[in-house]
Amino acid sequence: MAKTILVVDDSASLRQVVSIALKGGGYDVIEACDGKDALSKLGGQKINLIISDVNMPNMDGITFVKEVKQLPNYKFTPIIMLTTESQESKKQEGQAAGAKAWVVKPFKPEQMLAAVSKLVLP
Amino acid sequence: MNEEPNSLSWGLTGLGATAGVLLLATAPSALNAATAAALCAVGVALDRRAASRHARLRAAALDARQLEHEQALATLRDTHQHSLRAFEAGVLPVWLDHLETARRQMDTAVVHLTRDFAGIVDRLDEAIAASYRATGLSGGSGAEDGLRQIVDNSERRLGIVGNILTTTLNDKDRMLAESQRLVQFTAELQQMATDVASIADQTNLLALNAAIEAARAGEAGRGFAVVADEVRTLSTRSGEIGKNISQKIEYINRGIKESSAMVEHAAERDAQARTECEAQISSVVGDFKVAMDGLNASASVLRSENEAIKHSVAAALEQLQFQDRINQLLTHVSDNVIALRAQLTHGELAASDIARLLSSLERSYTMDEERMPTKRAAGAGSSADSDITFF
Repeated sequence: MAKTILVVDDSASLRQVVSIALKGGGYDVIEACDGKDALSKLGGQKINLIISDVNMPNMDGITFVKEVKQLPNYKFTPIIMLTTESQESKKQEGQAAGAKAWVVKPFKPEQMLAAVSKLVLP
Repeated sequence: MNEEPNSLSWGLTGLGATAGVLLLATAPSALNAATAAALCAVGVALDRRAASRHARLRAAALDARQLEHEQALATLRDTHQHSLRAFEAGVLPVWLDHLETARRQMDTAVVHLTRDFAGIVDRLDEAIAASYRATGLSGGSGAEDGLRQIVDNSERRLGIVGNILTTTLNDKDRMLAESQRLVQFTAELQQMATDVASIADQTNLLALNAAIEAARAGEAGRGFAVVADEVRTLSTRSGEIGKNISQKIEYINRGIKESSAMVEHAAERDAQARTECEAQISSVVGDFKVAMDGLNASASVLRSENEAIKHSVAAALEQLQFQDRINQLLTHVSDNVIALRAQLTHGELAASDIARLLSSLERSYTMDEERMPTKRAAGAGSSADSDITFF
């Protein structure tokens, strides 16, 4: 059974790019356009990994990560931050919130897949 | 202009002094000296009065110019504020609208472009899967139906047909060998029949001699004569049976030889048919294998092309992320234009406001290209590894 990854980004084209890369690696993908939308789509289902943008409307990525870490079903779900932000202070903010990795856009699909396979839950 | 009152003042003073000097020169006296002094004093007094009047006139002129200047400045300020309001109400919304339109159109175009790329990848995957199923080279669950499997199965089944033909031919060979053994048996039987006939002849001869001896014996040999006669009859019948057996054996022998010849002929034909059949089977299987090798070669090219195209698509997917970066740039500029617009609604744009706007724009930066503009050119086409940090 394919593993499921939740992709959170306010850019439709970026979500699509990430989805294509992940589906090419054999993963199922659920898309959400911001933190609030992502929380509403979790719904108790099995999520093996989350990839989230940082700067988003309604609920930003850092807040979303903090919210996810409060949920019993998802507190151990690994989260990769995918953002244009490359400042060290922002990365530390993501790490403190509970993210497992920080990927700066643009990414190479094969390197993203390598990072995903390293972190994804069995 | 400033020197005019002084020259006039000094002119009247000089005129009085000159008149006094001339008066003293023509008629020097105490009275004239007093008169000359009085003329000088009058000149000085007149000069001072003229200077005072000029100063008042000058002050009035300056006040008028100052007022005129202030009125011009007020008009200019009004015009400037009107222009700023017109800029805020007329130009900035258009800029924002255009930025939003550019962002929306780019997003839509990139989404479609990305979807098209995804479609290409999906269709390629389907083509490759079909190729795998057709050639049976994938090693997956569809391999059983693959062409290689079909060719292997066909070769095996056709090999079974060849084996059946070989078995039939071997049976016929055994039948032929048995027939030839029967021919040998019939030769032995023929000899036996000849022996029986010979014994019958000798027995007949013995019976004849016995009959002769019985006749010589007279009455005493009468009984023996009867026995001898019966023996001769039996030997005659034995001889006839021997001949019949010999004749039947001759018939059988001829039949067996004819059958053997027919079987031998059929065996030769079957052997020839088997050879031709095996050649045909080998040819058909060979043609299949050639066709399969061709398919495998084209499938291999297809797979190789697929890998190359997938690599290109992966590179394109990386490049397509430019939209997200440009979107952020445009968003930051839009937000700054909105802030500028809010500022302009107050009708003022001081140097401190401009510094504040620029500072606000810089705080919104997320990318290195924004912080270090010289990186802009190098950013999009970079082939460097992704910036990934694991915590």
